[in-house]
Amino acid sequence: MTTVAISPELAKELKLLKMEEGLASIDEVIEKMLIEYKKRRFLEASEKFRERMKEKGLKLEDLTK
Amino acid sequence: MNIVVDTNILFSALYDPSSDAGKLILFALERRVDLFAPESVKLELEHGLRKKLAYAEAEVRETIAALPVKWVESGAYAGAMDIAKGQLTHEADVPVLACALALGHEIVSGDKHLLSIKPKIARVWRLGQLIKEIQR
Repeated sequence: MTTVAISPELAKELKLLKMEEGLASIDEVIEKMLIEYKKRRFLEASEKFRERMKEKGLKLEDLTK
Repeated sequence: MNIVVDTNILFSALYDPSSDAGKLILFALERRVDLFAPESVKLELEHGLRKKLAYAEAEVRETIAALPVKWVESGAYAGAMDIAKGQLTHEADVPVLACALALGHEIVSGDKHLLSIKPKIARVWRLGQLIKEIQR
């Protein structure tokens, strides 16, 4: 385990979220938040990818030719 | 579970996150599976994004960073390239097999060349089969 410095307001919000979600620790809260952040990042990348494929009129198989 | 993925799986996941390939990525983000790929797959992805979809450098970086894949440098699987070459006629798949052999991991692919590899060399999962296994 290590220590990170965060504002008291943020610490309060994390503790509240931990309680609301019934999680065992702040570590678990942050881990869940990270997973959700990374999922959103992937879904955003996917949306851009689909848009660009459409713009270019390409199919998946065209990308690896 | 440690799995080596190929380029098609990653492009398919980006194209349709609700597909089995997309589910695999979401499972990796939830740490239910660890995904690996040789750097040749990364180069192929970057090439496709840059040259065929006209992505800017920053967009390429962001897209690659959004994929939960541990990229394996060629030096890590160079020693297994000859064995892999002996098993495959399709050159682009050789680093994928070499990477799996060097790391002792299994592969997931929809590619007929990789799927034809004998189980005693490496286990190659079909995507649907792997998704069911992870969900069990």
